[in-house]
Amino acid sequence: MIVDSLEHHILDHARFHLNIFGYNMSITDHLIFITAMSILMLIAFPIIARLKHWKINSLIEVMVLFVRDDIVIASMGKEGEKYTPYFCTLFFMILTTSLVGMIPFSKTVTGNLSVTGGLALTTFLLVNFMGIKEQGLIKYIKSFVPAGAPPLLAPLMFVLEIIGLFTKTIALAIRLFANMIAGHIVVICFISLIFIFTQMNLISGLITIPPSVGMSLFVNLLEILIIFIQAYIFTFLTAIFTSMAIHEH
Amino acid sequence: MEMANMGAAIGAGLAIIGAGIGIGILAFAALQGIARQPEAIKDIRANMLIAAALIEGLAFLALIICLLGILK
Amino acid sequence: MEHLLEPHFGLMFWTILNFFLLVFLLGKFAWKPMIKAINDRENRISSDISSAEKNRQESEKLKAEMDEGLKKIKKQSDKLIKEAKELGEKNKEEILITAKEQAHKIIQSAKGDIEIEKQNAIKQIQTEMSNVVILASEKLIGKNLDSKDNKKFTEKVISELEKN
Repeated sequence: MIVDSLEHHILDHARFHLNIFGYNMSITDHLIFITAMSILMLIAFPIIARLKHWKINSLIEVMVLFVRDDIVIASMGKEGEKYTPYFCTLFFMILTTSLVGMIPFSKTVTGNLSVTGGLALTTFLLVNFMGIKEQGLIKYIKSFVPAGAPPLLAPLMFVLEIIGLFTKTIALAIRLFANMIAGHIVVICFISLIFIFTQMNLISGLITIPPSVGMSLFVNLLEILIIFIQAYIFTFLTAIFTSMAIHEH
Repeated sequence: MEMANMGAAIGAGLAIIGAGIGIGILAFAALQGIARQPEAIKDIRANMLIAAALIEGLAFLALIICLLGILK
Repeated sequence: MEHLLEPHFGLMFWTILNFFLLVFLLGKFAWKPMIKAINDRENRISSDISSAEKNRQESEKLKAEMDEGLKKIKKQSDKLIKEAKELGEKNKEEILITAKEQAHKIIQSAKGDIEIEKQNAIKQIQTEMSNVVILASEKLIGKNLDSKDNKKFTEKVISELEKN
């Protein structure tokens, strides 16, 4: 029964099946959710950018300033200001989709390995494309070997850096996915404890209600904090990787 | 079957031990810094949270691999 | 549950497409105006601060100039007051002297008048006295005053009295 409940809440199920070139590109629940949240953001943010006298305006401005000053300029210096729209979009997308996932009867989009894998892939593409654009292809490949390394160790360091490139991307994806899904699994397990104890004995089931509800409330509050921190960490690490790829040593 | 589940569970426990010790040392150093210079508390808190999230990321990596062992 | 850890390429592709579209549209319509507004506000605040600083310095310079001007004016006014006081002193002395002279003159003229009056009074007293003497001598001598000798005698007495 727990497995059924977990499968219902955490996994995503396909609504419309469509197959393109043999790949399974069906429209799933999480995709509908991401599209709906994107349309909401596309409607809300330009309106907020035009209005100047609402209180929400200052809230969003505080976060945009935070992204611009503490993440983009701190990593890439003054010339990195043209990347601010990308990082703002990344930060706000992770934040809003994860926060909406805390509402009951909605799905956590970032709790899907494919979605976070897609976001990490965009980071991968951004880092490599910007590195090649700013430094040129040959210089970028040469930058994989840190300057000042003894020539004997150069091939080994080259391979290690290439592996590190992929590892950092995958770690980025798995970090966000695991943080988001762990909170939900723990809450579902705590609530399922009540049903397990009730199946054994009615009284013990009733006794388990207060500690179980209390623990799940605490884990929910902790998860909100973790959402903010993980959104910041994802954007910050992306900025660090981009700055390392753009700047020469 | 059973060995795979047991191995995965023991692996998860060991990974969490490592993460716990790492974050404990981090918190010790951060608290010492705050005690020495209370006006730097904002910078220390920001950096402590960043480092804790990075260490926890590695622990979660290990947890996912253990989950892979159980579910397949 | 094993689908939890399987990457689903269809969803990955749709996510990446959705994200790039979001970056493009949101960057054009939402972040650019917001960042422009924030930059404008920062520039306006910093220019306000620098212009306020400049105004303050100018006003301080103006205040220093005005202080100097005030000092000069005060010096000039002091000089003028001193001169006016001296002029007043001189005028006072002159007026005093003329007043004293005038008083002197009045006293002198008054003395002259008093002298004239005194002489007039003496003459009157003398005539009165001569009349009284005539009456008395008339009474004494009887009725012997109608002759000429008596008239000459009385006139001689009167001129002697007048000499006195």
